[in-house]
Amino acid sequence: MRHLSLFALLLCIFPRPASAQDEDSLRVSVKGFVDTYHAVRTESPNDWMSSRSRVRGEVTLEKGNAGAFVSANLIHNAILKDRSGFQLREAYAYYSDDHWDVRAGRQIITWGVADALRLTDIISPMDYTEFLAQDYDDIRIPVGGLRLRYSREKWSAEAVAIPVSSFFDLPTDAVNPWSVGPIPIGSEPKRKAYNMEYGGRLSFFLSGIDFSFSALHTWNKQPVLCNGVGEYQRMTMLGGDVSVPVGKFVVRGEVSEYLDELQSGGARAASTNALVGLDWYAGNDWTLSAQYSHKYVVLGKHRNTGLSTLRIQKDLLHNTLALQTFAYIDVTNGGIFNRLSADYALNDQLHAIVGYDLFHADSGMFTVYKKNSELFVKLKYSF
Amino acid sequence: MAAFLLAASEMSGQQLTGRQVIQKVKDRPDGDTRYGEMELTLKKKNGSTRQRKVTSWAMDEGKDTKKMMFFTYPGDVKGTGFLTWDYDEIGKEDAKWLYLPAMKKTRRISGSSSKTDYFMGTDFTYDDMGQRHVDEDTHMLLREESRNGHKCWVVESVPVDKHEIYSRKVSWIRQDCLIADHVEYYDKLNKLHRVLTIQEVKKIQGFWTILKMEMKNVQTEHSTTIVVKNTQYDVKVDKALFTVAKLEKGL
Repeated sequence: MRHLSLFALLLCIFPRPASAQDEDSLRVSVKGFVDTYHAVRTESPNDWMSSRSRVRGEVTLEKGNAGAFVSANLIHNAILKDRSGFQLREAYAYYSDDHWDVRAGRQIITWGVADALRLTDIISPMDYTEFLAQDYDDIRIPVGGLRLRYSREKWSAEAVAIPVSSFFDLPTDAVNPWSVGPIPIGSEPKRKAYNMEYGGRLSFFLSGIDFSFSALHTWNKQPVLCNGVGEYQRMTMLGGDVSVPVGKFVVRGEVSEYLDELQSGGARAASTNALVGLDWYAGNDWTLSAQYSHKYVVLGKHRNTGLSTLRIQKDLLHNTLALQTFAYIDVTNGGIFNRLSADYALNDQLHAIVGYDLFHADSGMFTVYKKNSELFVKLKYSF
Repeated sequence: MAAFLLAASEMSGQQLTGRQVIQKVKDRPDGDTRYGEMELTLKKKNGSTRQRKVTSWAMDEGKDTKKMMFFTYPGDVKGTGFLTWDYDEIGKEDAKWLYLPAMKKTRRISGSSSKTDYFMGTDFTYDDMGQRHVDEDTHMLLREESRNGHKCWVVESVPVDKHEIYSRKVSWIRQDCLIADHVEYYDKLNKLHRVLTIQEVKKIQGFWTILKMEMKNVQTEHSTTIVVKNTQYDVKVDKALFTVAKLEKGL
């Protein structure tokens, strides 16, 4: 079976022309990339933090209003050996007409307007195997479920059901330079019908504003330490988001209330999460974006926590060179993680990327990685 | 259509104002809906080239226009989509959304910022690619003359907003098809900056259509050629195509 999967993925590498565009014929679309990524720690012992190469294939088959999408990786990871091999990402079938869009299968579902922060966007969990030192789209873990969406010109309604939940992938193996330590993780919820996740989102897209309301009966997908063991418990999220373009700016806001959220130590309490963001499209290919996210928990010692992000991007040389810095700032504890990168398109297919991940923290969420600053290089061929 | 051309022919015999000429260009019939595939070739001074390919749909709703556009090449941007609701009313910001397939996410983006930025690294600005409102410039008819065998109106347009990237542009508008043959853009120092040359025009389904054009930055000698393929007018598309849901669904 594995060999068959590898063969199918290799077939994806060779682009085939889409067939005729008439409604009744089968249309095939193929895309993907081959990339190789290597990162070395800039502090002693200057060891390799990452060394991996992969092939990504994405195939869409469509006939009339129905189709299927499959996305998979073939990976060689020289450091995390158990991450090598075939990795199915998304695999879903869909039906889509003028107003209805139904997707069933393994898929990434994104909600909200926050950039790289999770308030209402809590359906697809995160893969923290290499913490945040991966492309953000690689960090999202697909979930197996059903998504039903009905859309009109200026609004859409979406319902989701996830029979078996997926949870965060945390690095607890000591050989992983990104390990958070040997934390025992409790068992995941039983695969029973009553444990399914379900929810919905109602979104409006108007000429001067976008806004949404969302609700989800879910789980804390990142394990919470209770008596030394990471545990999962039920919770309900009620949330909303808004985007307002104002001249060269877009103001974004997002709020979510987690009802009955599992807190460290085992207590259950509500938490309020709020985010405000500002994007500035400054012209001359400059983009600046800043966000502040605040979490307030009804009980406990650390009731208030804050996290900020700052992104500055400049495109140069007719968009062949992109310079970017993206920082997570732990406002509560004063820590920072900043990814600085330069992405140069050597030609239409091949990009060379070099960058530096800086960690600086004496306490808080980035402390465990305070010696993980690294220099990285990546080569990516897209087809 | 014949009546329109007759009217255009009659008008050419009269002395029009610059604004009337540009309004006629803007009002040139182009169907209620449109489909097209564009190949953009960026050429550096040293001769090396880069390519972008785009597929787009457009639909008129009164004086407003809705557009959906997807990149199909190169691979790293394939599937990236833009949805735009262009409003004719001066001062009303266009509504724009950007879909990034790698992030599986749609962003609301600024409707006013990118007009003077260059479109995806080409020599065309977003304004050049879109519908500039007639009254965003003041127009003056300079003269009538023949260019490349076509009788043209020569119109000078000066932007009202002094933050535009050009101080003035001079357009040679063909009187037979109401399409520019040649446009010169001057920078803030009034030096020639960019030159647009329309290289191929053809009537498709009764509508005059640009098939090939080149924008050259004469100061850097970088140029962009756009070849338009498979243009179709009055295609059967529902306005449901121009929604965020369809943007996320992709091609």
